[in-house]
Amino acid sequence: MPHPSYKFFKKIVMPRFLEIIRGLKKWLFVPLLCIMAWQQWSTFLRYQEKFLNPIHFIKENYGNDNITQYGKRFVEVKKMFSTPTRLNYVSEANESYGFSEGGFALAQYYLAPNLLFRNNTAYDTILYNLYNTIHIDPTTNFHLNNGWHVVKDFNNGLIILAK
Amino acid sequence: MMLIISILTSLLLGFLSCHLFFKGAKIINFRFLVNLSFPIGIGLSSVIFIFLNLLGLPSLLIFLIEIGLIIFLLFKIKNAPKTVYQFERFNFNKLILTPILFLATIIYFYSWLIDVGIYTFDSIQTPHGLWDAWSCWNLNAKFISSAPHNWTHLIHQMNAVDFAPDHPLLQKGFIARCWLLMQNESVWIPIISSFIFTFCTIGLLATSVSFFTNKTEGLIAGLIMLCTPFFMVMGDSQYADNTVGFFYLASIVLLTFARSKTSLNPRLLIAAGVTAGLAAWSKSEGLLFILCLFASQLTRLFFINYRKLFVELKYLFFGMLPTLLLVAYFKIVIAPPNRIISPEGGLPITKLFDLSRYEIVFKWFYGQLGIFGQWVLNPWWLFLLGIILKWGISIKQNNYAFISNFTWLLLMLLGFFFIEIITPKELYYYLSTSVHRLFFQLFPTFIFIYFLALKKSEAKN
Repeated sequence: MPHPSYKFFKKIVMPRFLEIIRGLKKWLFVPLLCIMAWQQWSTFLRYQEKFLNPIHFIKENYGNDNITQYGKRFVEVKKMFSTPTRLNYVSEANESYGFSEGGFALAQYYLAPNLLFRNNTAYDTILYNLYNTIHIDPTTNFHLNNGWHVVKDFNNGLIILAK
Repeated sequence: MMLIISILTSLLLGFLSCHLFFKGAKIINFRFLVNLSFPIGIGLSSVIFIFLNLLGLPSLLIFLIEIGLIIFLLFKIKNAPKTVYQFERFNFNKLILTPILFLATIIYFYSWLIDVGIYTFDSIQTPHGLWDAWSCWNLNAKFISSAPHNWTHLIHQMNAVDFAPDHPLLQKGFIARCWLLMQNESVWIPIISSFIFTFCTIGLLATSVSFFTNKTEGLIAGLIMLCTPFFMVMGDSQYADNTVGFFYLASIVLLTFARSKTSLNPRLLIAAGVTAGLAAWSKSEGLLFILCLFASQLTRLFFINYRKLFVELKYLFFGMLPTLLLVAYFKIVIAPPNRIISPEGGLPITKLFDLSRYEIVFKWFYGQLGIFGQWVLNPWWLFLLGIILKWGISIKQNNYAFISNFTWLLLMLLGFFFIEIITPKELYYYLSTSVHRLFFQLFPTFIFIYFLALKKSEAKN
C-alpha cells in the first residue's frame, strides 16, 4: 500500500506542477520575443538619426560615397582606351599599405576591362595614380628619365605615360 | 525601365521553374514559393547567360531565349494539373486568440521594416558594397559586361590574389547580364540582387520551419535571422556569403521536403540538386557543400537500403549536373588557379602536419561562439533555451532528414576548419576575415535543422 503522501504527490502536486510547466513553456516565449525586440531596438538606436530623417540622409549621401567620388577621376582616363589595354600601374612612392592596395583596386575597378599590373615593366603604357602629390617630378622620375613621355596629365593625380 | 525588366524576367523564370518542381502538389504556400524561387531565378539567369555567352551568342539574343523559356514554362504550367496557392492573409481575429503568435507577428514585421530601412541606408552610404563586393564580384562583372566576347581571356590574366577571378560566376554573371541589358553599370543591380538573397533567406527559413513545425516557431526562426545585426551587414555589403548560404538552405529544405512523405518526390530531389549546383556556381565553398551533401547522405543507409539511396542520389546528381559541368569548365579552362591549391603560399600538405595551426584555428572557431552575429546578448543561449523549453530534441520524428542534415553541418564545419588549416594566406589575417563569414553561410541552415530537431508542439498554431 503506497504511503498517503505519495498519493497526495501523484494526484495533487504532480498535475499542478505539470500545469505550471506547461504554462511556463508557453509563456517563456514572451521573454524570448522581448529579447529579440530589445535587440532590434538597440539596432534601431544605432540608425535612429537616419530613420527619423530619411529624406535628408538620402539627399546628403546619395552618390557622395568615397568610392563613387574616387571613381570620377577615372572617367576621362577610361575614354582613352577603345580596346582592352594592359597598363603598368604606379602609385605614390611612400604610400601606406592600405592606401596603396585600395588605390590599385579602385583603379582596376574603374578602368575595367583594361588590365592593370603593378610595377610590371613588360607593358609600355603606364598609369600613374598620385592622389596626394598630383604631379610627377620630371627631374627625379625614373620613367621620364628612361624613355617614357607623358601622353596626358589629367591634373587630378592620374597621368598616362608611354614609350 | 530596363533595370526592372532585366530583374523581373529572372524572378519570373525562377518562379515558373519552381512551380513546375512542385507540380502535383495540390496546395503551395505562396510566400514559401516566392522566397524559394526568386533567388533560384537569379541563379538560373546567370547560368543561362554565361553558358550562351560562352557559345558566342549576343546578349540580346540570350535575353530573348530567356523570354522564350518563360513562355515555354507558362505553356507547361497551363497544361499541368491545377495548383492552388495558399495565401497567408492577416486574420486579426484568429491572431488575437493566440497571443504569442500575435506578439511574434508584430515583432517580426517591426524587425522586417527596421532591417529593410538599415539595408537601404547602408546601401545609400556604400552603394558599391564593401571591399570584397566591388573588388571581386562587381569588378569581374564589369569585365564580363564591358568585354562580353573577350572576358574569359581577360580574367584569366587577372591577379588572383587581389580580385578573385577564380570565384564562380553566379553573382558576377547575373550583374553583368543586367548591365548589358541596361547598357549601364548601375549600382542598383547588385544592391537589389543582394536584397533578394538576404530577405528571401529569412522568408524561406520562416516559411519552411513554419511548414514542418508551426507558425510561431517559423516566425521565431525568421526573427533570429532578422535580429542578428551582422546578417544584414553581410547582405548590404553585397558579399556572396548570403548567396551561397541561401542555396545551402534551399537544398536542405528541398531534400527534407522530398523525403517528408512516405513516398519519395523525385522532382524535389532534382530541385535540391539544382540549388546545390547553384551553390557551387555562387562560391567555391559550394563545391565543398556538394561533397559534404553526398557524404552526409550515406547516413541514410541506416534507414533505407543502398538501392533506394542510389536512386535518391541519382536524382540529386541529375539536378546539379548541368551547373556542375559549367563550373568545371570555368574552373579548368577560364579561371586562374585557385589560391588554396596553388603552391605559391607553400604546399598545403606541409601545413596539415603543423599542429600549432590546429590550435590557432580551433581557438578562433571557439571564439566565434561568444561574438557571433554581434548580438547585444550572445545568441547561443537562445538555442539552449529552446531545447529546454521543448524538453529536448527529438530525432525520431524527423529521422528521415535530421541525421543526414546534421552530419552535413558537421562535415561543412570540418571542411571549413581544414580550409583554414591549409590556407596559403597569413593565418591570422585569413581567420579574422573569413571565419565569421563562413559561419554565416551555415547559420540559416543550422536554424532550420535546429527547429526541425526540437520536439514537436502538441498543437499547430
